[in-house]
Amino acid sequence: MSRARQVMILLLTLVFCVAGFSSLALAKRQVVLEWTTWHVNEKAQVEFMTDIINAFKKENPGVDIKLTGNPWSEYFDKLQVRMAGGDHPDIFACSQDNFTRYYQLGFTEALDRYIKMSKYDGKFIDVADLTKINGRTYGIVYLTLPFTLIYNKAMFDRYGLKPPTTPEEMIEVARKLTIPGEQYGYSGSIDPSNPSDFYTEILVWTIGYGGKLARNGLPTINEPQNVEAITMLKKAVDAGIMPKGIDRQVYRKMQLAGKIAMLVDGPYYFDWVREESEQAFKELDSAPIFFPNKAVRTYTVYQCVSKGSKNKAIAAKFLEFMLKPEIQEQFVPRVKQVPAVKGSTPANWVKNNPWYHGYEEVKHASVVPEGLELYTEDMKKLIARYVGDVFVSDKPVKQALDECQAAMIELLKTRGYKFPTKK
Amino acid sequence: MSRSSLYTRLVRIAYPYLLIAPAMIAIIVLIILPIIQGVAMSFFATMFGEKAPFIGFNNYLRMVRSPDFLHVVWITLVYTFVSVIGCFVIAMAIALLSNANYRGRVVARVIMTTPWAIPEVAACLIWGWILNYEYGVLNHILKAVRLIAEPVGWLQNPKVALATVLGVTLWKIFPLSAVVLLAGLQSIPEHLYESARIDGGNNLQIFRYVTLPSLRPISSILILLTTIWSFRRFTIIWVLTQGGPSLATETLVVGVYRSAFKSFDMGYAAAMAVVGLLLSSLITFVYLYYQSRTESV
Repeated sequence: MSRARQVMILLLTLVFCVAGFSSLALAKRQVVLEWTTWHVNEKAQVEFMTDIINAFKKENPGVDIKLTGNPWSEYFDKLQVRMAGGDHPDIFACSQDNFTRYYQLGFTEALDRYIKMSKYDGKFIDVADLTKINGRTYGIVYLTLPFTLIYNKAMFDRYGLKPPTTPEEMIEVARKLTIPGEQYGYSGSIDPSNPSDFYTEILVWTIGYGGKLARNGLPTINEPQNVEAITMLKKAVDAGIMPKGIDRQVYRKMQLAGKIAMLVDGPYYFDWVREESEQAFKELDSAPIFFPNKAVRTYTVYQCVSKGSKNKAIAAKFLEFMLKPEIQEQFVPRVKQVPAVKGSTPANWVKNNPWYHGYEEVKHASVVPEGLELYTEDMKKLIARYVGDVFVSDKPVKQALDECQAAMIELLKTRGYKFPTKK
Repeated sequence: MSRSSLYTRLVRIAYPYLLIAPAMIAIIVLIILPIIQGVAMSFFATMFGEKAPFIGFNNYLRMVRSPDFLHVVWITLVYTFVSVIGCFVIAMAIALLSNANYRGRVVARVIMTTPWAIPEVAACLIWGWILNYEYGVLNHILKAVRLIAEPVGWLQNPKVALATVLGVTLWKIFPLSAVVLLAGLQSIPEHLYESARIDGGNNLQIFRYVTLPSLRPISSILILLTTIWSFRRFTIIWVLTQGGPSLATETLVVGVYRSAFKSFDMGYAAAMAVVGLLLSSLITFVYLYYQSRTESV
């Protein structure tokens, strides 16, 4: 081989080595986080999350965040399977329903090492914050979904009606708005074949009557407030004001078509309606829920750092970044969901979007049984099984709730649950 | 014996096993090992993704003590039994009709297989709408012809939900059985029918003494397969009712899925799956034993 060729080969080798080391060095300097969520199919959420990521990257060069995930229906199954297999995303979204389970399975990292959580004391909205366990915080409240009354004000105006303020009033108003087979005054998920949606509707009423399905780790399914609540719901169903055998997706579309006057849903519903029909959006309004205590079921979404993350500190830093006022104040305007920090919604935005007023003065209530969060899915199944009999077989409400209570206690015993001792 | 002839002999013995080895490895890895793992899991208090303590037969005891367990087993047996018998009867009727010689027979046969050709989930979603309480076309037609005064909650009423799910199941599964039986009918030698007619047999007698016995081998396999498939059917039940209302349509398979992926109770789900495996094995064994006894007679 000629000398010139030898030198050429040596130089090329050196160039490749330098390039290789550079990219290795660059790769080492660049941190890539994975943030997984179920919002990946929601355009407004993806745009908002991408903007949050870009804002964080601007302040933290060398950090990249990839947004991944699956739609809601597949998200939890897939997340659990991958995490059980040791493949952990850095940050993952979870809900009240399953946060406690993920904590028990060891999926969540305590954030107190990385974030001074005490500076946020009293700043989060008043929902049951499950993320604090034994004095340590395992997740950040990302957003909440209060569910209040949404009504078709055009229909109400036609009949000269006002939004109801009590359940009895609601039934009366709905009766006036109902033409069986054509339009209905109210709609909710009263089909126990879908335990999740049925449980959601039951909560609307039990929370409204001040009831809880569990208190401090003890089931209270058959407490008097719940009996009263379900009795009133049964009365509403028997009044013929609600279409039967319809799931939530269908009755939302029915309201869009002006076939349903009232339903209970979250503020994101208005965004969806607006995308489907500007006219339908103009006809809708929100109002305080029709229970005197104004308590509404509020679904909470958390963001957690995975225990298996290799970049826990940066992931925690990103979660704290989302709590900045300039990020928090964008939640309602951009994704129509209520942020973690109280008072974040800009006053001028509310003024320019009057449909939001029904969500302002709500009293938030958790969707999971207090102290029995681990057994939420079992609770849903039992509620569908026993309370469902009230609506499909006309079983007396007290009897159904007593049976449900007994079944829940029996289930907890068979699971080895340690019942709290009464003080 | 020379080395080369020993080698040749060894190769000749090992060769068939080498040929079936890939399939056997796949069966062992994908079927046998998971079954063994499932059985093992049923003796632990396994929750999703976490190591769990050994609890012996506690999961099985919990199952037996559960007030709903016997109900679920009963629903499973009823669902399986009615699916198998119903499917066979309907399939036989359709196969006999399809075997007759008439104009448009080919078109009729194609239409007959349509339920089987439609994807299961899509079919169940459509049926969900046909059976809808408020807007379903079935209630609308029945009300129009005054067969019912009020809509029927086909999927909401626990008294009729199981029958409704069975109806949809039979609609979905009969075509395959009909096609298999039709193939069997067409393989019956014509001279058997001619002899029977010459001997003075009527249609019912010909069916009983010629057709049915000739179809016995194919029917045995068909009934066995339908039993196994019905025992483990999930999609139709889950899409239509999710095992409800009030456990009216909850079979063992639906219960296993709910325990494993909704309640994350993998150990208990594994125990239920083991019971399901034992039950289906028992049914299969009893059936094959009965078949072998009948054949030997």
